[in-house]
Amino acid sequence: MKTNEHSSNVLQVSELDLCYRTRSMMLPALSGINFSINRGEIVGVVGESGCGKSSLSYAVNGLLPKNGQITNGSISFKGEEVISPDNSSISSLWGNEISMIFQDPMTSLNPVFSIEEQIMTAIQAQVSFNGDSNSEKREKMLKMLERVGIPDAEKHIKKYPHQFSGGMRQRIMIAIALLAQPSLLIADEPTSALDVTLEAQINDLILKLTKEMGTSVLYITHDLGVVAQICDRVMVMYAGQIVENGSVQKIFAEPKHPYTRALLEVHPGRAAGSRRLHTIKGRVPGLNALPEGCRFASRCDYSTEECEKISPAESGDVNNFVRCHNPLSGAVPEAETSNKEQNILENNKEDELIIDAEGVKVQFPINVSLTDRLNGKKPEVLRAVDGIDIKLSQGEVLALVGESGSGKTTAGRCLLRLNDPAEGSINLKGNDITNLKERALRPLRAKVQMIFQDSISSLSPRRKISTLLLEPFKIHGVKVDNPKAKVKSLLEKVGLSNEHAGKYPHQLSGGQARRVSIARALALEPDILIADEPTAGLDVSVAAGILNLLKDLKEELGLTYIIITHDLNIINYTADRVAVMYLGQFVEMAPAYKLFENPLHPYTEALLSAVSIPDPSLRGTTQRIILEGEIPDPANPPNGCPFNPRCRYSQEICKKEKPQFKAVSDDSEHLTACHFPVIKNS
Amino acid sequence: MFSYILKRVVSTALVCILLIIFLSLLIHIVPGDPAKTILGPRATPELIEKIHTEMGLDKTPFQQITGFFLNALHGDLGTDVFTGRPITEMIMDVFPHSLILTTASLLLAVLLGIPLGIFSATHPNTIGDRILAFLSISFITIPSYVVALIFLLIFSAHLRIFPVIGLGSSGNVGDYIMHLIIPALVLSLSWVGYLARLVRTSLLEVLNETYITAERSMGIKNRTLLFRLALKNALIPTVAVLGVGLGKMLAGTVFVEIIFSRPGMGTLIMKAIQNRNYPVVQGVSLIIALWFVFANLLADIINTRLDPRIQIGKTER
Amino acid sequence: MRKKKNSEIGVLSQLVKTPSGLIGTIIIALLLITAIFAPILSPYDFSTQNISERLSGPTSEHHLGTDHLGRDLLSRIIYGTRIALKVAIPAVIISLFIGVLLGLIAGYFGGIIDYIIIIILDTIQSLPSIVLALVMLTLLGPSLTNLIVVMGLTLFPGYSRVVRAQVMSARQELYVDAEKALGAKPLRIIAGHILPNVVPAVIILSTMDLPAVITIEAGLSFLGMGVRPPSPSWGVILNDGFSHFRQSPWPIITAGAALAITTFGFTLFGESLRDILDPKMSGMDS
Repeated sequence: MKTNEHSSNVLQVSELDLCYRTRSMMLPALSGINFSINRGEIVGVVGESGCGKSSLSYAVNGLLPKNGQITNGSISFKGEEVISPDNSSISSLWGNEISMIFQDPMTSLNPVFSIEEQIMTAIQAQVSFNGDSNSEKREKMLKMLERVGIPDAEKHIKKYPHQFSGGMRQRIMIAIALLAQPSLLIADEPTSALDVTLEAQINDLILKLTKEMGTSVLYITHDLGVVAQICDRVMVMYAGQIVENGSVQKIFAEPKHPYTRALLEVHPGRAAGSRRLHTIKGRVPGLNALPEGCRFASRCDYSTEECEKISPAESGDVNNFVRCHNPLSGAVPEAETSNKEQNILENNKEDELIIDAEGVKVQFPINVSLTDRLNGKKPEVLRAVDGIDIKLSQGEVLALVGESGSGKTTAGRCLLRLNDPAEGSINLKGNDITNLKERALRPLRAKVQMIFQDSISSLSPRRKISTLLLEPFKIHGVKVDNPKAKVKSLLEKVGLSNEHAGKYPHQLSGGQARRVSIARALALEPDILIADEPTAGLDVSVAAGILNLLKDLKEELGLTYIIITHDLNIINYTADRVAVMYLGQFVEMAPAYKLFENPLHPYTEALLSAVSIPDPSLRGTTQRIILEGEIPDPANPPNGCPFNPRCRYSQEICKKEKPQFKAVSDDSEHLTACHFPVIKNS
Repeated sequence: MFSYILKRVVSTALVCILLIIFLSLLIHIVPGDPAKTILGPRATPELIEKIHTEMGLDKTPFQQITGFFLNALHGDLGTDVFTGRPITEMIMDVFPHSLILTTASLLLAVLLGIPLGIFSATHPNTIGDRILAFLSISFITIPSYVVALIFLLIFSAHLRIFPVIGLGSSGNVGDYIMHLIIPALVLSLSWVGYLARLVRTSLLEVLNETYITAERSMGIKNRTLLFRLALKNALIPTVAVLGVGLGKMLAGTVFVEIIFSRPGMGTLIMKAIQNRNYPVVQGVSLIIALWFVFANLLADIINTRLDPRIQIGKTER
Repeated sequence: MRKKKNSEIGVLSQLVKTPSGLIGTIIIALLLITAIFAPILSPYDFSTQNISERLSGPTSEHHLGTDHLGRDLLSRIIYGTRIALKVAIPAVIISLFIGVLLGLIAGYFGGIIDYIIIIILDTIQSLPSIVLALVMLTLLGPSLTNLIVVMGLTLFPGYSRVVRAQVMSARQELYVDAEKALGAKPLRIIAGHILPNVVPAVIILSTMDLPAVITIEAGLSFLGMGVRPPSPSWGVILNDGFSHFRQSPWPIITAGAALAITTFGFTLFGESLRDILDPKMSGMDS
C-alpha cells in the first residue's frame, strides 16, 4: 500500500471496487476508482444519476448500506488505511475528520429533537471536544451557528427542525458538519433541493468556511455550472467509473472524454438562444447490464470497434487522466445560435388574444388556531396569486419564473380553473371562464392542457399507459377508429416506442413519464399547453430532450405555451416572453432577450446573476449578486414593495409604497414593478 | 398544542354524549317490554310496574336520556333492578381489580414487547428475528381465551407453581400478586406480539432515514444512535397503539376474569348480561367505553410531547 | 415483463411463493375442504351422545376423544369449521358493504358530513367489539342470525376508515387534478381512478377481519351469548370443556387448536396478500 506518498494528500483512493449484494448477483457500483484530494482542495464529482456519485461518497465515508461491500482497493485518509473489516477506524474519523452534508435538508435533521439537543449530542460524541466543559461546548455551538448565518442562535436553538426553512436547515447541517473543523467535507448535492437564490448562498457559505478552515471538499453535483463556479478540480463519473479527472480550467477548456464533452454540450446554460439543444442518446446502462468494452460506447458518437470490445484504461497521472481509447482535443464548439430577435414571433397586436387574464387573485384560507380565534384573531387568507395580468397570443411562449412560494404554479393552475380565482377575470379563446360552471367548462378543457411537475404522480397509478393515453378521447366522446395505432402514434410523437404502451406509470423513468404526460396532454390537440417545471428532477440530457420536444411541438402544431419554471437557463432557449413572479405578483415582464440583456428589477438581476454557466473563466469576472435571506412567508408578506427586505437598493419609499407594474422606459413591452429600476445605458 | 388537545377533548366529549344516547336508546330499540324480558315467567303486573319506575321506563325516551346523562355527570349510573344497590358502587367495588390487571398486562407487554422489537430490528433477517416473527404472529392470532384455558389446564390441574383461580386471600398482597401473574401474562400476550412487530417495523424504518445516516456521519456512537435518537422516533406510533391497547385490554378482562374466576368489570358485565340486568350492562359498558376514549386521549397527549411536529394548523409546509 | 401482474392468477402464484403465504393458503384450503365435506369427513354425527364413553381421551374409535356427553370431538370440530365460516363470511360481507359505503360518502363529501360520520365511527369503536357485541346480543338474544348481524355492525367502522382515508388522499393526488384538467366527470374520476386504489386495501382488510370475526364468534359462544348448544361451535366446545376441565383437557385442547390454526392461517394469508397488493411494495421491478 502506498502511504504518505504525497504529504499534502488528505484522501487517497486507489483501485477501489464496490459491489452491492442482491439476492441474485453482485452489482458492481464502482470499478477501479483512483483519485486523491489535496489539502484545502475542492473536488467536484459530476455525472448523470446512476453513475455512482453517491456510492463513492458513502464508500469514502464508510456509510455504505449493509449490502454494500468494498471488494478491492484502498482508501487512505492522511496516509492511514481506513477500510477495515469492521469499519471501526473510520467511525473514529466521523465528525472529527470527515463529515458530510446531505442533499435534502428536510430529511437530514432528526425531527423529534431540538437543534440544541442534536448539536450537543454530536459534540458529546466527537473527540475534538473531549477536553471541553459543557458550557464551552455550548459556546462553540453558538459561535458556529452564528458563523453559518443564524443570527441570535441562542434564541433559535430550542426550536425543532420543522420550524426552520429549507435554507436554514441546510445552514444548520453545515454548522454541525464543520463543528470540529474536519479535514474533509463530503457535500452530496447540497443545493439541489433548494431554490436558485439559496443555492448561491449555500455554496458561498461552504466555499468561505472551508477556505477558512483549510477543509478539503468532495462536492457531488449534477450541475457543471456549480462545478465551474466553486471547484478546483472535477471528476466525471460514468457507470461506476471515473472517466475523466483534471483541473476545472483544463477540463472545461478542453474536455477529452466524449462523455465530458457531451455533458458540457447539453448544459442549458451554454445554449442560450441556440436553436436546438444537444442531447445524449440512450441511458446510463444498468449495473446488471454493464457492457464489456467501454461503458459509454453505446452512447458515444466516436465509438469504434475497439471501444465495443476492450474496456479503456486510465491514461495520465493520478489526478489528471482520461479513460478513453480515442480522447478528443480542442474546445467544445460554441452552440449554434440563431438571431435572438428572429425568435420572437411577429406580434400582431390586433391578433385575438388566446389567453386574456386580468387582475387574477387566488387566495387560500389559513387555519387560525382555536386559541388565537378565541383571542379575537380573524381567519386570514394567503394571497398565493395577488393580481396578475396574463395576455398571450397564438403561438407565443410565456415563461413564468419564480422561486418556490412565488405563486407561479398556482397562477398556472388558476388559468385552468384547477384553483378558482378570488378576483379578476380569465378569458380563454374569447370565452369568459372566470365563473363558468364545471359542466360548461368541460368541453373547453380539451383545448387547454397542463403538464404537471411531478409527472409520475399525475398518471393514475393503476392504469396502463395505453389506457391513460386513450382516456382523453373517452372523456370527450371522441371516437377512435384504431386505438392501438392511436396509442402508437401518440407515443411516437413524444419520442417513445410502443413497448411502453403496456406499462404502468411506476415502471417509467422520470423522463419517460414526463413524455407520456405530454402525449396525454397533446391527445386532443389543445391550443394551449401549460408546462409546470418541465425539466425539474431530470438529468440534463433528458431535460434537453424534453425541451427540444416542446420546441418541435410548438413549431409543428403552433401551440401556445406557458412554461412555469425556476430555471432561468431553460427560458432563454424556450420562451418568447418572460414574467418574473415574487410573492404572487409580477415584478418584471419582457421579451426574453430584453430581460436577459437588461433586467430592470433587482430581483431579476439577482436571479440572472445566480444562473450557473459552465465556464470557469467567468468566475470572478461577472459580479454575482447573492440575495440575502429567503422569500418571506406568503401568509405574511412585507409592506410596500414585497421585495424590499432583500433588495440592495431599498429605500424608505420601498417599505411604504407598493410600486406599480408599468413600463419605465419608452419600451412598452418591458414592464416592471420597482421604484428604482436598474436601467443600463445602452 | 393546547388547541390540539382542546380539539381532541371536544370530539371526545361528543363521542361520550353519543355513546350515552346510544346505550339509552338500545333498550328502546329492542322489541317487547324489557321489564317482561327481565322478569320472565315471574312477571306480575305489580313487578312490571315497579321495574318500569326503577328503570325510568314510564318517562319519555328524551327524559330518560337526559335523566341518565345528568345523573351520569354526577357519577350516578342508576340502581341495580334486583338488589337495589347503586351501580356506581358496584362498579367501584370491582373496578380496581380490573384496572390492576390491565395495568399489569400493559406493563408486561411493554417490558417484553419493546425489547423484543428492538432486538429484531437490530438483527433483521437473522434466525432470531425469524423465530421472533413466528412467535409474534402466533401470540397475536391465538385468541386470549384459548390461551387462558390452556394456562388454566396447566397451572390448576398439573403444574401448581402459580395459583390461578381467584384473587387470593384478602389482605395478602403477596398472594394477590401471585394470583395476578398468570392472568396478566395471558392478557398481555397478544400485545407483546403486536408491540414487538410494531417496534421492529418502525425502528427499521427510522434507521433507514437520512437523518440517522447524517447522525452516524457526525460520529455519534451506535448505542446513542439507537437508544436515544432513533428510538424516540420509533416510539411515536408505538405510543398511539399502546393507547388503543390500554383501552381494549379492559374489555379483554371479560374472558380472563371469567376463566380465572376473578371479580372485576368482566365478571360484573357478564353476570348482568345473564340476568338481563340492563341498567348494570349500560353502566359498565359506559365505563369501559370512557376508559377506552380516555386511554386514547392520553396516548395523544403523550405523543404531542414526543413529536414536536404535532402542532396547531399550519397550512402550507 | 410479467403480463399478468395484477390478475388473480398472478396474485395467487405470487402468494404461494413465500413460505408464510404458502402455509396460509394451505390452511385456508384445508378449512374450506373440511367445511364443505364435513358430512363425509366426520366419523360420527356431531350430536350423537354416548354417555358410557364420556370425557375420554383419544382412542382408536374417537381419535380426539369425546366430550361430557360422549360426543365424538373430531366430528364436532369438523362441523365447527362450518359454523365458524358460516358466521364469519356473511358478517364480513355485511360490514364491508356498510363500511365502504359510509367511507366513500365521508371521504368524497368531506366537511360536516365527514365529521358526523367520523364521530359515529368513533362512538362505535369506543366500545371494544366484544363488549359492543355482548350488549347488542343481550338485547337481541343469542342466535346465529343475530350474531351475524351484530358482528357486521360491530366491524364496519374499520372499512369506513380505510376507504375514507384512501378517498381523501386520492383526492389530493395529482392524477385527480390531471383527470380534472382533461375534463373528466366526478363519476369517472371516482370509479375509474379512486376506487381501484381502494379495492386492494378493502380486500386485505376483509381477509384480516375473517379471523377476527371467527375469534369473536367463538368467544361469544364460549360466553353463551353466540351460537347456542348443541350446535358444535368451537366456542361451545370450549365452554363444555371449561365446565369439565378437571376431568378431561381434550375439548379445550382440540377446539383451542382448531381456533389457533384457523386464525393463524387467515392472518398469514392476509399479511402475504397485503405484501403483494400494497401498491408501494409491488411492481418495483421492471
